[in-house]
Amino acid sequence: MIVERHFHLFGYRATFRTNYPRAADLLAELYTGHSDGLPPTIANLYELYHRPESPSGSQWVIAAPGIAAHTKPTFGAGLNGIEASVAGDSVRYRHGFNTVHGALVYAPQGGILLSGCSGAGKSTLSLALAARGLQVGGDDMALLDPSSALMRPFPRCFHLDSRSAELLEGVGLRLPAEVLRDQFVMPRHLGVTETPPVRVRFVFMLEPQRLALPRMEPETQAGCASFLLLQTGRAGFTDRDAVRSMAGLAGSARCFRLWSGDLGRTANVVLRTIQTNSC
Amino acid sequence: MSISSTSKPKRREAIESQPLPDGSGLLFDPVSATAYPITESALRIWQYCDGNHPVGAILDELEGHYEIDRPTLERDSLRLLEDLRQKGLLEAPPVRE
Repeated sequence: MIVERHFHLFGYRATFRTNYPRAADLLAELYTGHSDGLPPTIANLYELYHRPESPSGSQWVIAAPGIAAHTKPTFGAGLNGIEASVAGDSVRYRHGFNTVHGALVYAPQGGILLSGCSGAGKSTLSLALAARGLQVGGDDMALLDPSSALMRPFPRCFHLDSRSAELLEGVGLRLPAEVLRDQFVMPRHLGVTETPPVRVRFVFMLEPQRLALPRMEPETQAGCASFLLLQTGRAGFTDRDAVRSMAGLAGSARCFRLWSGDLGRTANVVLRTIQTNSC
Repeated sequence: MSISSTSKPKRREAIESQPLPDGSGLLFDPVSATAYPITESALRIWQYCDGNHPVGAILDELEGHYEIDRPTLERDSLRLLEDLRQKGLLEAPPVRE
């Protein structure tokens, strides 16, 4: 049986087809609130098919716009491949938001943006903050409305490898077994049900170097905006627009450079910084 | 030609300055599509780079804002202006008296 779902992600329309209903259910859950109310039409087709009888054993075949069909060894790898393609294609779509590479965390004081290049530790740090009671909207992409300077997470699954899962257990975050089996961690698994637009009050720029002990240094808002420009997708915006948007984002925040150390200590440093620098 | 205390540095008209609430600022060069972050004191110097103020007069203005000895202020300011010039943010060559 083939299952089909239609999604409408900030203007980008995607159709998902699969012969594995659990995949459709998980994506529908991730994109809750993003199923468009329009009559379903096939647009930007993403496919995931389970081939349990393949000669080389169980296989997962995925295909996406512009990407030829290819196989993945596990369900998690296949579904993550689909999800990554949808996210990447949506970023390039002209949806009217600046896309910033970063994790968006909700705190009572406002939004916290953890930005940095891939591998800098955004995912594990954001989840370590979740273990300390904050709400994590997303660990990879956030959308900035240039007119309001409000930010919201782009719905994505969290990107955890086995080492990250071990680190998180060390700070008290234990994920359900089925989540680890599927390797498809969603905000719901961390108790997050709503991800409203929020004004970012703190930006932490994660440096790629790891230290024995975490180190934090204040950064100017201009330095922060300049850093964020390197982490921003243009998506139809001019460079001038992007500069103004990032200036608007950094201009309402306190900005810090962060060199991560031990995960628990790093999360504590972030929490202390937020508490001591709140207006 | 490097900048001296008698130079009258002038910012390029195309450069957009974006002041931030903490006093720092961004200088955006639309030709190279590059944004340069500058500190609060650098932004203050930038604002005097109108081609009418010699560096010496800029230093006089800055002395009233910062508790720093004149030789250090002059050295740091000239270093900043030279950096701005090398980045192509100031008109070249700078005017010398």
